[in-house]
Amino acid sequence: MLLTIEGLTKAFPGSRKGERVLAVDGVSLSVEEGKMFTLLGPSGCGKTTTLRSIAGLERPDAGEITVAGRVFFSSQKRTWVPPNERGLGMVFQSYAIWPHMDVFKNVAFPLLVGRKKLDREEIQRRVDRVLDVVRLGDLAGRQATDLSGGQQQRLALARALVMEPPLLLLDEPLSNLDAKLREEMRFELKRLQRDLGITAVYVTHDQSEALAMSNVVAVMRDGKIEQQGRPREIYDRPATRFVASFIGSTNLFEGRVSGRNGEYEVTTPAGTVRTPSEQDLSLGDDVTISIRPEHIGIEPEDGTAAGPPQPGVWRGTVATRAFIGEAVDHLVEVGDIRLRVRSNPRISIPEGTSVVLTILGEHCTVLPARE
Amino acid sequence: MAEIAAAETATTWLPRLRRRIFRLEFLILGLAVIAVGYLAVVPLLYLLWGTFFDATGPTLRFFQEAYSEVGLLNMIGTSLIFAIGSTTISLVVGTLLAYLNVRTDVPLRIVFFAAALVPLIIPGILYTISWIFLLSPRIGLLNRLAEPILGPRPWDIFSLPGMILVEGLHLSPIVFLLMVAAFRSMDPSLEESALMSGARIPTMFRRITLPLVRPALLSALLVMAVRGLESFEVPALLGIPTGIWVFTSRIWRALDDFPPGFGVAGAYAFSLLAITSIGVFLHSRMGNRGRRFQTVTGKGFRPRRLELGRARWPAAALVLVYFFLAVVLPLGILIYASTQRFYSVPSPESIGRATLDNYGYILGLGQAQRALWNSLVLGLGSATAVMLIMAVIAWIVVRTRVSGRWLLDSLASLPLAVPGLVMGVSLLFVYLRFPLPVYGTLLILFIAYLTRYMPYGIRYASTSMYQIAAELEESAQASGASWWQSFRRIVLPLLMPGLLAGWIYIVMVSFRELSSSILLYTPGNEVLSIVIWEQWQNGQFTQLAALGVIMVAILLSLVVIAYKLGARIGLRSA
Repeated sequence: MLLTIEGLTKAFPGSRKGERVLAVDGVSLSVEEGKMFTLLGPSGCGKTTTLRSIAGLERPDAGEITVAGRVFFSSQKRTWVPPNERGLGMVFQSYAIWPHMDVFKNVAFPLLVGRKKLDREEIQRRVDRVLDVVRLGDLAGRQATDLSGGQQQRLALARALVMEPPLLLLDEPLSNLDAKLREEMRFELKRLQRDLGITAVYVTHDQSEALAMSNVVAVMRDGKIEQQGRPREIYDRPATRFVASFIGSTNLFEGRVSGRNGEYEVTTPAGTVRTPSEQDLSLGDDVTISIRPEHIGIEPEDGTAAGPPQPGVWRGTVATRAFIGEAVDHLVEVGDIRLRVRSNPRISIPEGTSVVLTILGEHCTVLPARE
Repeated sequence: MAEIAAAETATTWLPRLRRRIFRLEFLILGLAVIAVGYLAVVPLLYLLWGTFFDATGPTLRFFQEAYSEVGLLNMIGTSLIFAIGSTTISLVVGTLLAYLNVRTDVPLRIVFFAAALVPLIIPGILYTISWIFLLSPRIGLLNRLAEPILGPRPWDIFSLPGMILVEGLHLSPIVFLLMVAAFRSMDPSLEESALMSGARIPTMFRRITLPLVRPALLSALLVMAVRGLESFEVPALLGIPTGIWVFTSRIWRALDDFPPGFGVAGAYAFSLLAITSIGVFLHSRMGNRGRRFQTVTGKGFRPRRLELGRARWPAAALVLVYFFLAVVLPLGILIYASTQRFYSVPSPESIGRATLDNYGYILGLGQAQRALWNSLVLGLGSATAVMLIMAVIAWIVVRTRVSGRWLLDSLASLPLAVPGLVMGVSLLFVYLRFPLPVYGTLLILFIAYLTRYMPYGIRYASTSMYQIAAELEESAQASGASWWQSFRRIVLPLLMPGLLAGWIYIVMVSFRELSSSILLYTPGNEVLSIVIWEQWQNGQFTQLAALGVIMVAILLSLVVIAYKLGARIGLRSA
């Protein structure tokens, strides 16, 4: 493990006098070498505080942080390494490009102020190399403030990489870019990280960014890690209601276990579903069912008389539809319940049409009931 | 056809113009513009005229006279050394304190506020007198305390270094406030990324922090240099007794002669004005060039304060030493002096003889009562008039597209370059020749204050005006409101916080005003600072201390009330 964090805790003074607000509440995690680890969560969930604690820009109240075998912080051993001795690379949300220096000087700064004294040629060589890597090679003499947003972002990255740090910390690095550029930089960052074999901790509130870029995602809420796993796992098998609704969009139904033979049968106000689950549930347990909009099949009622209700086959009426380019969203009313169904743009059903919805058991996720 | 149309326009054109001219809107705008133009330009024209002309025509006689005085080169050198020295002290002290306060975890942060505010409130004349009580070779408390260690009379306040120390300490709160604003608006991640790059804190401060606040530093430097050149109280009380002359004390001296040397004073005033104008001009030029360095991203920062580690308590000690020098000692000795019948160096016996007699004397003194009344009338009156006129001017400058509106802005800011004594001389030139009885009444002081505080007024008013979206006014007009109605009911109420802040600031500085008043007052029209000045000349040290304590108390309560009212007292870069 390149980075391990044990029981990290950090409180800030609250708005009222004497009050303490827990920003990070006993977070433990570990990151393998060469992997991209993402802390994902809404603002105020403690992800940035966790990152800043790794950087040494925040002094935690308790816990232990170890990078490449070196203990940076330990409340037990009373160890504290200041940020300027940790040798980590960091890209800030605002890029923090120094406006009074040109591109070259911005990148050379870490080499000039560090403990190791390098000669001028070595500095020149290293800066040129890292500028080439981020494709800013021909802008070395440019004033930093004359760069575009995307170029500033790559400059910040170059400055963080020039020391060849064991760990790269990225604090919402893409959030200040416009949508188009953001998608481009997403791939660019991923490519760099993989090609250079960098270990990185990435903080973001953007779930699609997290899914696209990471090897491992940790979803945080209220200072705790709610779920941690590969992007696919997090998306397909969310562990809690919060994760299910924060990652992508989903339909959530309150329900009760009404049968168990091999599969569980769950009855919800909209209808019943049959679903396999590794969880140990008993009859009568309250649960929540999560079904992603794109996992619900939709077709117009074909007129044949409706048989007895079947698990996974619900009948409803289209309330509204919206064409969103690569898909069509239908809002379907099943009794009092409204659910979102996303379908291929070739399928578009007018409002007021009766429809049949099909839900496969493997697409349902059984979650704990509302707290 | 064309002729008919022309005739028609001619007949409708005149009455329309007449109607427009007599509309309230144009009356108000016109009067405000005329007032600003008159106040800013006329005194300077008279100064030029009075300096470069005598009864026979154009002349350089006054300059010859002024500059043939013995030791003149010396005087210019002293003026510059004094300004540079006090600027250096205030910049170093003010910047360091501002950085410690905003960006580090130095303890005792609560002390900063008092340390920054109190010297700002104490009038320069009182501050200087306090320091005489502390460091005069004969009666200075600190001299007495240090004598056993350093030998007899180790320090002399009546010297150039003494003057620089007092002026530097008195100016440092202004630098502090300017730099606090600069450090607050700096993105802290610019420093954090330097730390992440492996830089030590001193390296970071030198190579990242200081270059980033350089525009603010340069701006503070120029403002302080101009203030140092303008200063009158310190050179008058500390320099004149030992023959250390600067421009301002020379001007005062020329006019104190009999007969008064108006032309010679004008020549000095003109030279000083030329120097300060360069400073103010450079300063205004810088405003345009600072853009590139803008580091404000508009995001709310939650800056983590830098951990000083082992340097934490030494830094706190530094702050405490400053607090003692700048606040506790001067204020303490002033209060002590006010309780003594005759001034003597503080000792257990003298403290035992403390009495409130001086306060009784001052409160019963007709001259002091009149001066208090005059100061109140002038302070409140000039602050109200300045802020109202400047609200109108700011509206013209910010809202309209009238060509030449920038000129209006510059005219209102022009007096910033005019030292108080120079303004006094110029107004003497104007109103000694004026047919109406303005000289010899309070009105001349009112005009002086109005002129001197216009620049502060325009800063406060136009800053707030920029923050009011034009749509708010446009929607009032779309609702059918006339210009006056929308100005009175929409613009003025929205401007109020800014106007109030400016108003309080002007009341405060007008209470301390000495350098213009000293040339313009006549018996019966004294203000508080003049009474203190006269009592100092008469050797009534303990009585003036009592009056000073009362004055500081009034100003302090004014500030407290202002804070309670929720007005922000920010200091514009002036």
